[in-house]
Amino acid sequence: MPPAGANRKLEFEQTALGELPVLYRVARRLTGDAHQAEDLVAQALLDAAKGWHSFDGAHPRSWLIRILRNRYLRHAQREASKPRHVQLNEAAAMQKDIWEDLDWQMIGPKILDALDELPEEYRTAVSLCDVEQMSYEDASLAMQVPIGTVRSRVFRGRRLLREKLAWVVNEDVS
Amino acid sequence: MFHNKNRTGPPCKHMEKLLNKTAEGSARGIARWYALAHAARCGPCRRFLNALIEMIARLRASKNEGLPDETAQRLKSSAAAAAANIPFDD
Ligand SMILES: [Zn+2]
Ligand SMILES: [Zn+2]
Repeated sequence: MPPAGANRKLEFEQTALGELPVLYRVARRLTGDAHQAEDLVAQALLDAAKGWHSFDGAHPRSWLIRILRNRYLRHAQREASKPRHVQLNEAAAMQKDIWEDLDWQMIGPKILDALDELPEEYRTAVSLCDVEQMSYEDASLAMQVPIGTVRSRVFRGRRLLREKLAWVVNEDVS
Repeated sequence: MFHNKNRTGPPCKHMEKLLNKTAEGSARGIARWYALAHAARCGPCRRFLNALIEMIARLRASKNEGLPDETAQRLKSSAAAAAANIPFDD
């Protein structure tokens, strides 16, 4: 339990400060935009401060990400009409051997851009488990789905990411 | 144990989960040994495993850059502002 009294502010601030880089990176992946990511973190922190009295103190990172993502998803529903993602050319992707070696010199800086093109549930699963190296348990608390669901989203997300990366190479040489 | 003698193409379907767990480091003991032994003898699974290991390493490393100073400062201010909303009680 967060302590009662004057310490509660301090406890909240210390918890939040420790999680700011993670929250920002997750927000950046969710929104696809640096400025919107900052706004999202700021708003999520206000939500978190409001809920701080009822937070049980367990898994603070998952708790904060859950608040952040829920705020984003509520907002994103209103913007669902404007698709941000270009559909992958499935036929071309099928022909391509996606597991062949990639030129990481060229592709390395684009890995997060490619990740940003995945559907949200895969993007967030990979972002939490592979980028942030959260456990499947912590990611499942953050995403409010069973652990098995997180795991299959991560596995599928890695495959989708690989398709995107193979496609980036394809586009650049053609 | 080994089904696919080709060196290209997709990994063995029944190995995909275990290879994912091996690549991320969550497969342990006999499961990990089995995956590595399979990959050693199966070209597509070996390529799949190596590709996953490399991609996961790149994803993990992507966060090492850290935040720009100005961004970090503004986020700290946001945290302080949010904390100020928490009432003193008792
Ligand atoms: Zn087998
Ligand atoms: Zn195989």
